[in-house]
Amino acid sequence: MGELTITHFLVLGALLFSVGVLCVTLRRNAIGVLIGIEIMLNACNINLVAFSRYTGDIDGAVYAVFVVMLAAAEAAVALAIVLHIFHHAASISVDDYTEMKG
Amino acid sequence: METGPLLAVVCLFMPMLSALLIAVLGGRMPKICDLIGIGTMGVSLLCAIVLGLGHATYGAQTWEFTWITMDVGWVTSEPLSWTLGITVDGLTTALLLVVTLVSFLVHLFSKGYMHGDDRYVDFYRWLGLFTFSMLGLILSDNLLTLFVFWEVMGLASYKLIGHYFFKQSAFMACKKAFMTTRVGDIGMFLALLAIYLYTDSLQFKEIFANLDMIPVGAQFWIAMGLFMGAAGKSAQFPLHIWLPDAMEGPTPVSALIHAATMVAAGVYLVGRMYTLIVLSPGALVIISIIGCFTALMAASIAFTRTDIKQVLAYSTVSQLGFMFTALGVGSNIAWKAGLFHLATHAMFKACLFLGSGSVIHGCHHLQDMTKMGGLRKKMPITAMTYLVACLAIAGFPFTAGFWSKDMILQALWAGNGHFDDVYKIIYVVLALAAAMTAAYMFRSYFLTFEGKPRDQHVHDHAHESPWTMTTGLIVLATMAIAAGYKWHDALLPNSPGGLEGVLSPIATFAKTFVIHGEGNEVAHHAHTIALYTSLTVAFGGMILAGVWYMTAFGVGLRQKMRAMIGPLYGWASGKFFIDEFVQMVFINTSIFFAELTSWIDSALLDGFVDGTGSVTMKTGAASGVADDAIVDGAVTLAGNSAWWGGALLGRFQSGRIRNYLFGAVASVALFAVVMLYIVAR
Repeated sequence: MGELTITHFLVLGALLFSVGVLCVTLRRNAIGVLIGIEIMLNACNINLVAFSRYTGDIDGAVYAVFVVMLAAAEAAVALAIVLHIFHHAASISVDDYTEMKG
Repeated sequence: METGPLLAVVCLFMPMLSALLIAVLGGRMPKICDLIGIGTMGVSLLCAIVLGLGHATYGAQTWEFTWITMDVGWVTSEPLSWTLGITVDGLTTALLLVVTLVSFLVHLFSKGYMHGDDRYVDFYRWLGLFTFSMLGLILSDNLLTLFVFWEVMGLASYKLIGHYFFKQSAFMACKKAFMTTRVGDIGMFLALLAIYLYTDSLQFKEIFANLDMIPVGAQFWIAMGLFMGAAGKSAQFPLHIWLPDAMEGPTPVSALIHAATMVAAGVYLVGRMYTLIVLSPGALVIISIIGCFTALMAASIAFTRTDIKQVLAYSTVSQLGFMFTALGVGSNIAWKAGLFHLATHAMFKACLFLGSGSVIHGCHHLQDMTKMGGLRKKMPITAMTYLVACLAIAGFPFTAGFWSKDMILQALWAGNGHFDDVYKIIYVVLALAAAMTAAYMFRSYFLTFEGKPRDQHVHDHAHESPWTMTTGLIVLATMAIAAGYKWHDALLPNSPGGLEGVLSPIATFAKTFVIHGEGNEVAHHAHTIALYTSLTVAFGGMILAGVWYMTAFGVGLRQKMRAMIGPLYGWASGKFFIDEFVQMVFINTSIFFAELTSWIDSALLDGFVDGTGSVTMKTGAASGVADDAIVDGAVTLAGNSAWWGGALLGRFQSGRIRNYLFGAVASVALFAVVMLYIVAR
């Protein structure tokens, strides 16, 4: 086992992001989609913190805190939207909601 | 203005005034149009009589006015001016009297004859215009206005012949009269052009002053051209065919136009241009031959007619032939004889025509002489006047016709020094024609008025005409005798100087037309021979007619004589087939050419035009198809492809956010891969 380097963190971030993307695109459940978004945001946070540690600058960590706060707000708004959709269409499957069809 | 021309101008314009007044008032007051016509003609007649009585004072006056002045500075420095005017001389005065007298009496006669006619007003209007043009023709002092009046007269004549235009025959007759005279007018017009070309003027006095400017060769053709116009108007062979047909007009019109005035216009023209015409002895002899031939031919046709007006029509053609025969001699006496006969003929022929009108009126529009007979007791005045006029035309001694016919024969016998042998032959033929005249005129008198009634019904219903009609008959019958004395010193028929007496307005106008000196001895000799000849033919003809129609063996004699002359009677009865000849040769040829050109027009020209049209239509149709297929197709295709494209692309708009996101991620991934690939290189 070698020393833990920034590469490991970046790979972890990338893998997490990919998982998030797949979750967003493949899940039909709106809650699942929101979870995927949270995963992607946290993948970004890992990168931010990793780079902050790597450069010895505090800015990245500060951004990460902001992102966490933003994620909380976003989750609140998004869950409200999902609730509204559920009332409207009696379903939380994103495939049932195709109002934007051309 | 002098008194003479003033009277002439009043005389000229009164009939025009009549025509205008009737045209304006006739619609509202149809009752008074006859009074307007008769009144104005009365004034005209008075003017003419005053002119005639005062001839010695008024003689040979002219009144001129400048009609138009043209600045032709590029040719001469003097402006070119056209002077028109009227001239009053012996010839004019004499003819003015004849025309106004006959016209006045015809106006009066028509009041009775045309009573109750539907187109009474129109009739008087055209009668006025006709008289105006005839007077204008006589008074013109130049060939230009003469020609204008000549044509206006043709128009008025056309309207009057066609008065009963709803009858096919009358309609055809007026057309024929107009067209036939038009043929003659071509010659006259060419002659006018030639005269103007050579003498630079159409005024009589200028022409006669510049006669030496006309080359000798042209003199003949000008004379023939003028004669051609005269032959058309005065019904000379072969242009005589219109006159008998023109009898379709009302009888007063026949009396005015086709006996006394219009047909005299041709004779007047030759008489007026005599100074020019005598320059060519060749033209003179042709005029004489044609006149003589016409006289004989028409006289022979007159024997075969049973329609009373047709007899008079052919008689008119024949008598006009007499006048031209005389004028064709070219001597001073011949000129006087021709125009003298014109005046006397106008009187007795108008009397005969009005007499026939009275008979037709009295017999309720019957014209066939074979149904008449014995009418003398029913219509004594008409019969008496008709008899007097018959005596005059036959040349009975001391009637007007006797003096004038005698003078014609005398002129022919004397000759002019050229072609005297020809004139001797013409003399014999014309004497024969004169005998025939006496015979056929008395044939018509006997058939109409004497013998037993051949149709009792007609006879029972016949009646004498009203005073408006008989007045004219009496006046004209008087003139048929008196006219000879007015122009002729009857008391001294054998005196060489008698004809030059001042009693004659014509004589005072007389110039020396003699080509060849004519001694008194020759004239005297000619006069004696002519006197015996005319007496012989007059009595011969009258006795022959009397034997034929008034004696018991007349019928058999007529049949024997008819057999003797063989096919001649048939030919004369068929009017020598001149109408048929004209129909076949000229009219059918014209119709053939008309049809040919019509065919060319319809087949070739129309075909060409139609072809152009159809090519245009086909091109249009083709371009329409091209428009639909190509242009519209392109536009539709553009629209459709947008539609199809939209439909195709719309498929991608599934509305599923997952798909969109997947697309976005996939695109970014692809972009990243490409970028990496590029960077890695």
